[in-house]
Amino acid sequence: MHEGAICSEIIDIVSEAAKVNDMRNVFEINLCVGPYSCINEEQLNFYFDIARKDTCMSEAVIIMERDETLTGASQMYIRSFKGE
Amino acid sequence: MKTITVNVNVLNKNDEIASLIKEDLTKKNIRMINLLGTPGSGKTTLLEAVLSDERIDKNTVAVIEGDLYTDKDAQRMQDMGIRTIQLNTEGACHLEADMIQRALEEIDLDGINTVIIDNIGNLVCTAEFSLGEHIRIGVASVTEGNDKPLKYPLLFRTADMVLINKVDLQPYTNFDVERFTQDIHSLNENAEVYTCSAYKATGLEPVIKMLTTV
Repeated sequence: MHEGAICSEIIDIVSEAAKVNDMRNVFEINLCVGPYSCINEEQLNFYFDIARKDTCMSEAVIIMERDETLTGASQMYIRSFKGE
Repeated sequence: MKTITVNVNVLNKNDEIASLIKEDLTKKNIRMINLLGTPGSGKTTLLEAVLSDERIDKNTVAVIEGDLYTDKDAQRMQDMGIRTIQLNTEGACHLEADMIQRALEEIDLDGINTVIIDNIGNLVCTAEFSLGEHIRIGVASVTEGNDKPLKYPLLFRTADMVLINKVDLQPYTNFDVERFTQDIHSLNENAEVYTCSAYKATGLEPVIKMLTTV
């Protein structure tokens, strides 16, 4: 249920990093989450589809990967993003 | 097409605020306890029972109540003479550190040595967000069933203490305290696990001891 808040943070972080790197369009965001991070991919994408409008991520997708080495709370990282 | 490597924790902003809160409270010799559990596990009743104990100085404890709607829980605390602030998320399932930061600015912390966050009833989302607490207590109850630690591991993995509440109702359920405890320890071997009944005010010593030990 907290995917909305997570999505909002992803957009803030990527928007800032894209601006710094002079990237106008982001196409792919690589998100890595631990096995105990309670993130549902379908719900995250649902929120992202709505929130990405009018941002540099309007055509972007989130590629979510599970990393078993990330244990504990708050274990979700934006590893990288691609764009031009 | 180019790739930008960032390696940023999505909850960085929340965690940074949580660290600032913890640092600030530590400097003021105030400890903060985050109380988490399902709706109906008895978190607020537990607080009422513990804070009613004559060994607790009510003037040294402040409570932050988190709920989606209403100030019912804050009212219960205020009726006991506890300094309380109610946070209503109006639909959001968890509290975030910036909400706690604002709440702490509003509460008069003069003379307070313990702040207790009575978190929103939720076994999943609340556990994900650090709020700057020093101690995390999970509250479960025998009526919720035995399977909760393994089905909802994050809360149990991150709790310093787990209280199994409503133990007075255990004879009417198939709840197995030993199994539940084993499951918690399979996730988090350092978690202290105790049984209690907030309603009957029994088994509360570990929490009372914590609150009376500065």
